Amino acid sequence: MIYFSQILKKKVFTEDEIEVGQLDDLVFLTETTPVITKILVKTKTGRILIPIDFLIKINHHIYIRKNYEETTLSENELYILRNLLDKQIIDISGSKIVRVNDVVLQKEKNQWYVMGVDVGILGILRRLGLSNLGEKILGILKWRLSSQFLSWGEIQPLELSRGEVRLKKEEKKLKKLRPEDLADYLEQTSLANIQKVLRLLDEKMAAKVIADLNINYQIGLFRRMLPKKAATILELIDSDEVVDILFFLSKKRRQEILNFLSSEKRKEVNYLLNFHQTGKIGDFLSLEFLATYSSKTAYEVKIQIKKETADFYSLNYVYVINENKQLIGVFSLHELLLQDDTNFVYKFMNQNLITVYLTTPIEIALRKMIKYKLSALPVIDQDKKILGIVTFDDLSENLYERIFK
Amino acid sequence: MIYQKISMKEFLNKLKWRFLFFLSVLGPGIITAVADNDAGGVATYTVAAAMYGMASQFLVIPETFILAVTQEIGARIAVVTKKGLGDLIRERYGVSISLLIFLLYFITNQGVVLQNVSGLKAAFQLFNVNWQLFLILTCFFLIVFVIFFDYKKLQRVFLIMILFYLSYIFSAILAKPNWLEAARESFIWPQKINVFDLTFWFSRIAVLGTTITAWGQFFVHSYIIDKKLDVRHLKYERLEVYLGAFLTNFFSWMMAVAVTYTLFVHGIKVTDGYTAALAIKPFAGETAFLFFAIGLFAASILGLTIVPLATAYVFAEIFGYEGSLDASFSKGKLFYGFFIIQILIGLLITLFPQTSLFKLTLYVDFLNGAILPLIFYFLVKFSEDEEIMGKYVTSGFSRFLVRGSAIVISVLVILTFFGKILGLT
Repeated sequence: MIYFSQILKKKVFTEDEIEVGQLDDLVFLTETTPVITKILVKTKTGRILIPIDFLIKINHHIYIRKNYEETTLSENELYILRNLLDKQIIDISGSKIVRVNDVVLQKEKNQWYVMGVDVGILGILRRLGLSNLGEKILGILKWRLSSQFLSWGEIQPLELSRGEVRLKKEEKKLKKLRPEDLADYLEQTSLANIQKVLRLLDEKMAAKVIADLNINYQIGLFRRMLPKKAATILELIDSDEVVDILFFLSKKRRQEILNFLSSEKRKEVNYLLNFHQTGKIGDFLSLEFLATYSSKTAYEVKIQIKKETADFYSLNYVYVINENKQLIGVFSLHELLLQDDTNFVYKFMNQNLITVYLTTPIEIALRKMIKYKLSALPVIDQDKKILGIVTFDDLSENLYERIFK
Repeated sequence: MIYQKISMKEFLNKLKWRFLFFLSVLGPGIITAVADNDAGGVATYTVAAAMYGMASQFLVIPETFILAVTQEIGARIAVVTKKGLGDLIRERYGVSISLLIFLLYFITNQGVVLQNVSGLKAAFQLFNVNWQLFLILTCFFLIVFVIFFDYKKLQRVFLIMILFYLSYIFSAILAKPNWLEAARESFIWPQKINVFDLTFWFSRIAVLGTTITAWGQFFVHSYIIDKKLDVRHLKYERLEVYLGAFLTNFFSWMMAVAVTYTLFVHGIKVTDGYTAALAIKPFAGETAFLFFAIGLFAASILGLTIVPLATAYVFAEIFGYEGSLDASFSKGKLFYGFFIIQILIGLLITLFPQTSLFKLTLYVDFLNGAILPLIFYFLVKFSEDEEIMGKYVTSGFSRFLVRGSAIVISVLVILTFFGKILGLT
């Protein structure tokens, strides 16, 4: 086992002691066993890529065969220095983002491969050539640092945007992550990178991840994607969400994508889109709603209703929010009346929420109300914070006017 | 008629949404820029204004412009790449250079923190309270707030602190200034002093040097990322950064007015914000004095929170640790740790009255001057790199503008330092 930092910049010689240059980088295959395939040598005239087959040994110097040939980068290959070292990676088992401080290489059956990465402080000290000194100092302080090692199976490079990296193979590792989590990580990177990572996923997973992304990213992605590819992904996402995304694209772009949708989906989406231009929920937002906390009892809620809703025109539902004002539940007055006074809200509230956004077309809101037999829906923002409600009365009035006047 | 009405309504609606969208990006640019007027800034402005009157704000318009341009680069890189300046330096230049920059940066910021703790001490002394006790309490509460508040709540606190800067406007008005003359001296050409006096220029550059800082460049960057803005917000974020640049110089101009028409016209020289506030009292009255003290208090608090945060952000970026105001204490231990350490060091040094702050300020300015050109080099380099910036790369005329601003500031900041060494300011 050796550290990449220990061999970087080592001099490269041919077997007959002729200096070629110094080691500038290593290339590895991004597969289950990430085998080192090529070495990049910086010579006086430029950088050359040499297949690993010509490598004889790594000692004080690096020796290669004298009849070495040059080659180029192929698909599924990444550089260690340029693509992995110092970059951010996803620690899959720990489910967090960390930075690579060093890369660990291992030789097995005459093949070199990337064993994993060091994300600890020792990695940094080693890079600075201070690992001995560092360990001594820490030894005096009786403080032992262990290398924080993550094996290749536990990590996923987060950034694939640098250089001409082309990866084709579907990544099994990413499948271990929950789509919601992956969406969260990806939101911390640029759009171009999100695109690259999504390309590694199969369509089903990609659709799930996209559905979990923030609407801004969704729009950005579908603006850039090929219409055909966009259609295959949208096919897997709920129609009303598809409409939300498509609505923000240009008319031309929208039409291009629609052409690739299956006829059934297209019909549905077109139908919803027709209504989308006519009105938005925002126009019907009502602030006449009651929000409470899940830690209250049924009795306390009843008192709250008496105190706070005296001047309400009507009240059908009580919404439950958490400390961040995010909507987490709902119950109807009927459900409330059925409870014992001492029962807690979190025990009987309904957590399966039907919600709409400010940008949701009123037709979709109405459809939801009819489908789930609800007389009002909460309107939330991207943060799940409740902004207000829309009532069936208000929406149907608008519809009536449009049909009969 | 009806049609017209509808289109008017639509227009207003559009305007309303644009405004709301603008509010949603509000924060990074304004907070960073206004915090540049921290305790150290207040001291420099006051000393310069007492010496040279409104001429100390001469060329303030191009200065605002340059500040806007340099802050915009950072904002743009942040919005496009979603990476902090620390992240980019580490990824592009490796471990040793990042570590070196972080060490320099840490020490510089420590000095700035120290300036702000002593600014706070001065404010408490002006309020005539037990400064030791209040200093310790304030630092304690600051730490608690930063740890337990999330991004949104803290931002609200910051924005409220900025409202306190309005007190400088009141103290300026109470000084009964000649506005026309003030505008002429600062916007057109100073007539009250000899413009060809070299020492005047050193003092003028020092004023600029305190406005444009190393930590400001890092902070606007990290703070935008923590706010989770993206490319769609870029247009509005730019506007916000420009607004911030305007505000910061607007406040410092008001500060200069307050000092000019009380101290400068009577020929009274001061050495810092504390003596300035006391000296203003006999000319502009108790209220003006109080407003001035409140301004100093707000400036110190803002600086004392934001500068250590700027350190913590960069540490987290360079070494790959959790670094967000939204993180819990247990998750962001090292992030909050760096924040706390900087405040505690500043507090401890200030509690021992025998430390010479004047010397320390000199070293801080030196380090700031040394590190700024480096940061601008990185900023320009990253913003012109197509691989990093894609279609948002700096090109054409703005390339000239960005490089020009960076070079002008770097040169001026270095000049400031030599001015201080030679005792010209």
